[in-house]
Amino acid sequence: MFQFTIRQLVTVPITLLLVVTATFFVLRLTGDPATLYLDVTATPEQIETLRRQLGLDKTLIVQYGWFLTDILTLDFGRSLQFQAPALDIVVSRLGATFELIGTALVLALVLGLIGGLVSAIYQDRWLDMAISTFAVAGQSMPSFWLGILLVQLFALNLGWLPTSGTGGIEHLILPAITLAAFIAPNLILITRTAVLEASTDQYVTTARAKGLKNGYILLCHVLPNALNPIISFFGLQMGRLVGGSVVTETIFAWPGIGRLMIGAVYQRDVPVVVATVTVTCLAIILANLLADLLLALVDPRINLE
Amino acid sequence: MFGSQFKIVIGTFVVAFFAFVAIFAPLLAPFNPLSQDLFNRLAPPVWAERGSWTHALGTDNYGRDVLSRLIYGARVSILVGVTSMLLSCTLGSLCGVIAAYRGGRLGSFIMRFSDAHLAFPEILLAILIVATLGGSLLNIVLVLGISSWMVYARVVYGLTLSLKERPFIEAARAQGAAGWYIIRRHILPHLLPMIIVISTLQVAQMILTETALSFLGLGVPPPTPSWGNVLAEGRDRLFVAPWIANSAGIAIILVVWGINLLGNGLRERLDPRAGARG
Repeated sequence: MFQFTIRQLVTVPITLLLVVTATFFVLRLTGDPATLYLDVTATPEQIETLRRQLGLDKTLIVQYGWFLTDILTLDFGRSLQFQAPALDIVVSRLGATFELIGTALVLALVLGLIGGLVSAIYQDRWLDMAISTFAVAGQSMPSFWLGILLVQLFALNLGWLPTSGTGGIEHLILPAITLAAFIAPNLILITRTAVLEASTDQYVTTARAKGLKNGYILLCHVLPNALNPIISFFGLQMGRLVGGSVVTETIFAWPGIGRLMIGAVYQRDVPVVVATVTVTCLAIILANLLADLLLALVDPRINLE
Repeated sequence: MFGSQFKIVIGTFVVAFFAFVAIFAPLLAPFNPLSQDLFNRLAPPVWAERGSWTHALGTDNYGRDVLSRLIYGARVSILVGVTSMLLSCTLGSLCGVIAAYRGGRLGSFIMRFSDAHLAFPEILLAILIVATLGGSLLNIVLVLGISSWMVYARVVYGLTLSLKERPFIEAARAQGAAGWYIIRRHILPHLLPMIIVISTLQVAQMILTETALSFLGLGVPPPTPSWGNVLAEGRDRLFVAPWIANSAGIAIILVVWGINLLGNGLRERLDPRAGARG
C-alpha cells in the first residue's frame, strides 16, 4: 500500500507539469499576452514597454523556463484587478468552492446511491422505470437551466430561498442542488448497473442458500462489491464537478474560484487565470489519486503491486 | 428497461425532427431571428394572457421572435455538436489506434498525455482558449473538439490492444500487409460500432457544453442565435420574461434526450454485454 501510494504520488508532479505546460503554450501561442493585459486603446510604445517588463521579448523557451520557476516558487504574479498576489486571492476563494462542492458531493452521493439501489431492487418494476427515466432526463438537462428553474420556483414564486449570494445555509441549498444535478443522474444509473451486475455473482446465491435476509445480502455482500465502479466514476467526475461549479457559481453569484476565474477572463487578469487553472487541476489530480487509493482499500482484489 | 429497438426508433425520430428544423430553418422560421422590433419587446407567449400566435413563444428584450431564434439556434447548436464531435473523434481514434498499434514510447506518451488532459476540465480549457482567441463559431468547435479527444483515445486504445493480438491481424501481418493497411482494413472496421456509439453520445455532450459556454458568455457571440445564448439572455430577464429561458431549456433537453436515447439504444444493440445489463 505504501509503495503504491508513493508511486501514485510521483505521477502527480508529472501530470501537473503537463497541465502547466499546456496552459503556458495555450496562453503564449494563441495571442500576445501584452495585448491581453492592456486594453485596445494602448499605444504600440506601451505594449512594447510591457513586453519588455514581462520578458516577452525573450525566446519562448526562456519564457517557459521563467514561467516554470515562478510556478515552482508559487509566484503566479500580481492580479491586475485586485493588486495582490494572484495565488493569495485564489486561496481566499477556495473555502467557498470547497463548501459548495462538498455539499453537492454529499447530496449527489446520497441521491445516487439510494436512487440506484432502489432502482436495482425494484428492477423492471414501475419504481425502477420512474427513477431511471428521471435519471435519463436529468442527464439530458443542462444543469444551469435546472438552477434557473429552481430560482424561478423557490426564490421568485415561493420566496422561500434567496436568489443568490452567500450567508446562512439557506444560500447554499439551491447552488448545491444545481451542482449535484451535474453528476447525480449518472451516479444513479451507474449504481443501478453495478448493483445488478454484482447481484448475479455466485456468492449472492450462496448467501441466499444460507437463508440470509435480502436486505442483509444487499448491504453486506452486494453493495461492497458494487463500490468499485462507483468510486472510479467519482474520480473521473471530479473534473465535471469543477466545471459545473464554474457555471453554478456564476448563476448564484457564489464567491468561489469558478466565478473568480470567469471574472478574471473578462478582466484579462492573466495571473489569476493561470493560478485558478493550476490550483483547480491540482485539486482534480489529488481527488483522482484519492479515488485510486480508496479503490485499493475497499477492493482487496485490486493488485497494488 | 425499454427495448433497444424502442430507444433507437424514438431517438432517431427526435434527432431527425431537429435535423429537419435545422436544415429548413429559413422556411420554417416565421421571422428573421435578427430583426428587432423595439415596440414589441418582451411580448408574452401564446399560452400567457395577452399572448398571440404571431409570436408563439413571445419576443425577447429586443423584440426578436423567440421561436425563430430557437429554430435558427438549432442550426448553430447542432452544427457545433456534430463538427466538434467529428474533430474529436478523428483526433482521438487516430491517437488511440497509433498508441495501441505502435506501442512503445510513443504509445505510452500519448496515453500519459491523455491522462493529464483528463485532469484538465474541458470548461477550463475552453475558458483559457476562448479568453485568448476570443469567441467565434470556429473557436468553439476547435475548443470542444480538442477538449474531448481523450474519451475516444482511451476506448480505442483498449479495444485495439486486444484486437491486434487476434489471429486475423497476425495473418494479415504474415502476408506482409503494412501497418496502415492493417489499421484501415482490419482494425478500424472492428472499432466502428463502438466509435459510432461514443460519437452519438458525445454530440449530446458537446451541445450541452456549448450551451454552458454560451451561458457563461464564452460561446457563440451574439447576435447569432444559439440555444445557449438565448438561454443566457433569458436568464437576465427571468423576472419579467421567464418564457425565453424556459423555451430554450426545453429545446435543449429534448434534443439531448433524443440523442442520448439513440446512443444508448445503439450501445445496447451493438454491445450485447451492455444490453444484458439493461
